[in-house]
Amino acid sequence: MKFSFLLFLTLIFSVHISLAQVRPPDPSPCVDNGPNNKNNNLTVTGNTTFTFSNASDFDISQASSSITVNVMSSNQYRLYIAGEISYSGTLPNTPIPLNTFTISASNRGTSPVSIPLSGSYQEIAEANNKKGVNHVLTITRLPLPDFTQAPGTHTLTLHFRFCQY
Amino acid sequence: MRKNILPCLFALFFIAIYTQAAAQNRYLTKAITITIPTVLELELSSGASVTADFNQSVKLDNGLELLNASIITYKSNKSWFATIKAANPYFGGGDVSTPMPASVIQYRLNGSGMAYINLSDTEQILMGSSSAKLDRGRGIGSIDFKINPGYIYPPATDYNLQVIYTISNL
Repeated sequence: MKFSFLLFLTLIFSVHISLAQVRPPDPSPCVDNGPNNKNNNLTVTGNTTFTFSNASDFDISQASSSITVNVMSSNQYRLYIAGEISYSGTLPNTPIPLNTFTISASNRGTSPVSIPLSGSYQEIAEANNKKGVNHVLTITRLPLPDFTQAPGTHTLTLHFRFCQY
Repeated sequence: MRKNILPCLFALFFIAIYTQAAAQNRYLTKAITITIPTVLELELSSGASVTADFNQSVKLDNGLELLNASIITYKSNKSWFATIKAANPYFGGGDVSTPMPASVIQYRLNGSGMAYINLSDTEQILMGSSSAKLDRGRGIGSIDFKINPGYIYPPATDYNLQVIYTISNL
């Protein structure tokens, strides 16, 4: 009985995790050549936060280059990014528009220099059969001059996906 | 027998979670925190020093109306309201035996349809109110003054009064 209860709690916890993130539909084309292993792997390192020291900061951009995406791929690949914004504070709130953030990546190949973030995957880097490539992301927060977002903690979740093609 | 299965299931579940955490991925997420502080800000963008010169008797007869005398800019990411008051009940300067009260100044928010209200040293509504707060945002407010001292107060060139604007969420 005791273990049944623990199992029940664990199941509730696992459901909560699955609801916390909404994975965007894969881009197209998106081929997964070979199994997920050390030759086909994605890692994301580093952290960043955006803060506003004073009211004038809302009128200027802020950039951070502290997140690195490492792609191990057994074949040529494209790296995609999508965003999702959430807020857990006091309502009402106007969500921060995703296109407030622009992303650029190092070692981008023929991918666009910079893209405005959206809820759908967009290509930020492309590499031709390379292994262990680091893509340093520059995330720029554009001005938020209209003060329609509620004070508090807003969370931008970045979704990364690499696909072979 | 059932008692033996449940602990095994429980252990297998955590093994599965651990294995998943250590697995290689083609998809990952990263959370970035954006912390937005509370902003309630007023700024006098023009009309920080308003001058009224009663150099003609007709001005003392009718008073002086100064349209758009002061312009304030507001920024607020909470619901808000703004008030106005005089720093003192009477003007400085002039003849101290006949002090000129703040109420010779009347104010209104330009374009709001608001009637002129006598200024005093207690806070009075200017934009919104504590019971009818305005939505968050940024913008400007333009303030008209009507100054009518009449012939009650002795002539002087140094009458002065500080006006205080306040933005609040309370």
